[in-house]
Amino acid sequence: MGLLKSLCLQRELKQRIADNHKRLYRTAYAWCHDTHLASDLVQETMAKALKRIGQLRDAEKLDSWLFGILVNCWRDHFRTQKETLDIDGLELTDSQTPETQYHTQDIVKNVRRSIERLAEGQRQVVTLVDIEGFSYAEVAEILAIPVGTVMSRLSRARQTLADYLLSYKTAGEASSKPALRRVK
Amino acid sequence: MTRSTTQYSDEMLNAYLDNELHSDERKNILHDLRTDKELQDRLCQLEQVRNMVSIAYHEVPDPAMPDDNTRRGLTRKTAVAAGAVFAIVGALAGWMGHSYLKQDTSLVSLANQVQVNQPSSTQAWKVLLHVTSDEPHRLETLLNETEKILSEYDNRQQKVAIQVLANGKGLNLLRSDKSKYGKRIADLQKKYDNLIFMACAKAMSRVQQKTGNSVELLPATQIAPNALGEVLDKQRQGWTYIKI
Repeated sequence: MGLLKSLCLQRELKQRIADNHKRLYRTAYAWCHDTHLASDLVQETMAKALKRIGQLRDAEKLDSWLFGILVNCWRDHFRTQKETLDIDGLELTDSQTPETQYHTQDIVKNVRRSIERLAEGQRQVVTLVDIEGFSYAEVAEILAIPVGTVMSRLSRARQTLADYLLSYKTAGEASSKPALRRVK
Repeated sequence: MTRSTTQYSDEMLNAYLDNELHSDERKNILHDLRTDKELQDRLCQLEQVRNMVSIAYHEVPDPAMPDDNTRRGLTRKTAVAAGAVFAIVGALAGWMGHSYLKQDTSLVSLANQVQVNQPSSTQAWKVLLHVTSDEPHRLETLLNETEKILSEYDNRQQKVAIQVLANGKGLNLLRSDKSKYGKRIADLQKKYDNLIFMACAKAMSRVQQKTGNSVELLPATQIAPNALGEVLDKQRQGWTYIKI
């Protein structure tokens, strides 16, 4: 009976891992903005998760456990990429001029471009909270950092994004009132 | 009014927005929000940013073709049943589609079908064939297709450039001590100067670490620092990518 129950649980967990594909991909894409890399990272994450499913102690924490694996895959990729980074082949992250930004008026593009410009730690925190709706405690567990660090990174990330995005929006609306006020 | 604005840190306001505060802390902020215009503005800004980030990733581009190694692990049964499996990505159009195809399907026509921006008669069609396995039917197919593309384009007097990239077990195709195809590859290289065979340096160093012996490659084989980087670079440059 116990064995049957355990098999059913494993089956359910595997299904839940598969159901998380879209969320994992969206987050991976938000981190790297590269469909190929995001796809590879998610496949690797899911393969590892299926392989290590026995290590998951609390089924309730499946989501944060899965995203934790994604973080590790991302770190591994980053580490191996460092050795072979070809700086001649690198494109500037933000090749848009302010003029073209004003003209495009495309919030989505501008938000993504602004996210790209964030420090990696801030980018991970803000995407996990704002896009996937994880709690601070879950993000702390996923990234293996204290909750206080989650809060400070999130705060800096949102402030930086406000600097990038709301100044652009205000300029577009030609408002005379300054839109930003940094609170230290 | 001013006092209440400064007494709340950005971290605290973010926690309020994200529903991470205790009820009495929430109550205090709610109370001050009624009268404090600056506090309202700060919260409004943070809320706007939060919504913008959330909206920006509501729709994301479809996933690109996943890596064959992991896919094989996940769908081994399907792959075995289907025989040889090919994954095709039309690089110029980003993600274009993916198909499991039988071995006898011509890659030339399929690759042409998924390519949106067809090269003009003066431009060369650039194809990157990537192999990560040393299964004989894959290597045979790779060489057959390479020869087919080269000869068809030659007959039509159209330009084509082919690069064969090998990593993982696919490296065995280009190892002089392992490959059964040394002569065939040498003949192809002699006949066509628009064909390059390239081995992944990382895969070579992994083999060297494992066996303790240096990896000897077939003559005229070039070396790429790393296969993934090579694939991404070529895709950025508009090459059609076909993984075999």
